Amino acid sequence: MAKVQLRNLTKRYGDFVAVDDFSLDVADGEFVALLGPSGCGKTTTLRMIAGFVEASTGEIRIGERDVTEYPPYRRNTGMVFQGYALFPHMTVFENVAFGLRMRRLGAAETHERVAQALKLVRLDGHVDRMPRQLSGGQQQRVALARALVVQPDVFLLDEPLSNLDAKLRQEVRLEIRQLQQALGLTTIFVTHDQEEALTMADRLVVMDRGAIQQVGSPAELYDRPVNRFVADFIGHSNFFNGRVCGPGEFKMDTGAIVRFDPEAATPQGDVSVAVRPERISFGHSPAAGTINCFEAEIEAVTFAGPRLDLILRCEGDRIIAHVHNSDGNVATERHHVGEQGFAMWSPSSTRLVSR
Amino acid sequence: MLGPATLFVLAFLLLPMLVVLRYSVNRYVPGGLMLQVFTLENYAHFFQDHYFHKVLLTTVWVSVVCTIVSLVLAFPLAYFLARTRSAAKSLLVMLVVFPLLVGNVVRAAGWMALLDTKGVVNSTLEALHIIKAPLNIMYTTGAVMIGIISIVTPFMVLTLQSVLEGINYSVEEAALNLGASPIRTFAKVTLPLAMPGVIAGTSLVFILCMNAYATPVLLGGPSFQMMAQTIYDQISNTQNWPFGAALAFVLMFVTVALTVIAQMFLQRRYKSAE
Repeated sequence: MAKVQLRNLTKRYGDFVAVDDFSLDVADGEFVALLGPSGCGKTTTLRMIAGFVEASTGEIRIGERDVTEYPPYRRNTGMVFQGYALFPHMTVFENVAFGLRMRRLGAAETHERVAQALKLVRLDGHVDRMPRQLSGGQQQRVALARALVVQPDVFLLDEPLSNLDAKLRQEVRLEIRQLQQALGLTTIFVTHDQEEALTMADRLVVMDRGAIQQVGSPAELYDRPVNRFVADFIGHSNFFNGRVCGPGEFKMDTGAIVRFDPEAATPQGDVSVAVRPERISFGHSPAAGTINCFEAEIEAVTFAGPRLDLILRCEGDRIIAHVHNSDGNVATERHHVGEQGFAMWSPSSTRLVSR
Repeated sequence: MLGPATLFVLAFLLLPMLVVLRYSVNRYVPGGLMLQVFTLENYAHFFQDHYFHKVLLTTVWVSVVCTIVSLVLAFPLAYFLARTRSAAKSLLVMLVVFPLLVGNVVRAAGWMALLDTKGVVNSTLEALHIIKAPLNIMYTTGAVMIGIISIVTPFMVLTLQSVLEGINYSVEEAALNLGASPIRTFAKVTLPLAMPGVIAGTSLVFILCMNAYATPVLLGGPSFQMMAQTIYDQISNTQNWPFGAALAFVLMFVTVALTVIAQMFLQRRYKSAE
């Protein structure tokens, strides 16, 4: 495995900029997820690393090699495709052995390494099946084994879980992560599913319209988003517009003052305040010591299993507050539409984000 | 299951074939009608006369060459058509089909104008001082092959294109990703997956070649003989219907046999991806 360095990668199609000045260092053995809505350039970035898309400008280094000008078959990357892209005319064994044959390995070593790879993904015993005889999850494992058996410098995953049903996805998610950690695979993973990215990756790269919005650990991105896009794309956030009016003070458009942690970095330009729904509590009287406390009225109540979603009208905005179903008694009768009360949250839960 | 199509085939293909099969075992009476007997002498005549062996061999040879050349010419074009996302794609497909809108005879006449000793090709080459004396292209096997290939290639392109379109491009990318050069990707992935199309296309084109009539007559000249012309001569000029019918069945048998053998060979060589 090797580190991957991307320097000012840009891809233009005519006037359209698919990827805009993308720079990123992926450490040896690190698992990085590229996350963003469809069309954000994450797949184009991955395909540039694999060599299927030529970069308009910029540099790609895998290990010590500058592979920017290399064709895909000389880059030694291991890619798992969205639809798996198994060779339909080959058995499981032949699929996995393909990369080793291209590297002209001897028959004995090929057999040994294929057997090893299939064992790793718990598919030994299926060597003579054709891909169409396998379930989606099994095909997925063959694709993983096929990419890993060649000992690539970097492991590339293009939405590998999107064709699996929800239950299986959970399972495979964990398996890929365990495999990645056990083998120390440098991994770049493309997904539009924030939960997938949060639970699997060491580091997340959030992209929008071809550009990196923020890079950081899952916790960093969730708790300290730098802009409104990240705050809204990773989890859900309630936003209030206004402007900073003093140290740790933010004046909402309604005139009310929200307090935030004055130690936190303040972004430049127009800013909003972002508050996570689970940080907002709703009560009939202001709790003692609460600093941010605003009158609110319940507009809707939705039961969501582990929690109750309260849709509140607060400072002219519609916001969402989560009430945890911690005692099994969070039944809808405890809150009703039209109920008056207060929405409360702490300054440390109040993030300033650029708009 | 006797749908209208089945009835149509029965009435207009199977019945006439049975009639011709019956003719092929009749006895030829020069200058008269044929005798309703049961004899294999027409088939014996074919097997004994080297002239007809030569005609059959020429037919097979020309058909094999034309089929292979047309496959080689058509594959890159079909691949491009299958993979392009150009807005002009349907226009390009129309252009491939376009030659079929011109009848065989008209097209052969066009080739004559091009390939004749005073034709466009020779006069251009002479004008450019590349050659001194005109090349003899017309009335050669080469001219016939050029003419036939130009007719059958569109069929090959369309057949291959439809199969190539069904191949997910990501499997080719997977091969490249695993270290296969473009040539090995083609040999190990694209071609095996395209095999159903190659088999269908070569079968279709080979059959068309074996039965070519107008093109060899017009571009091959009087001394060049392929089976379809010879059969026509027997039936129309010599009035020997029984022998013409026997030749027709020989041609059909050889065509079917070679097609089946080639298919089996190709299928064994490349396990098709069904």
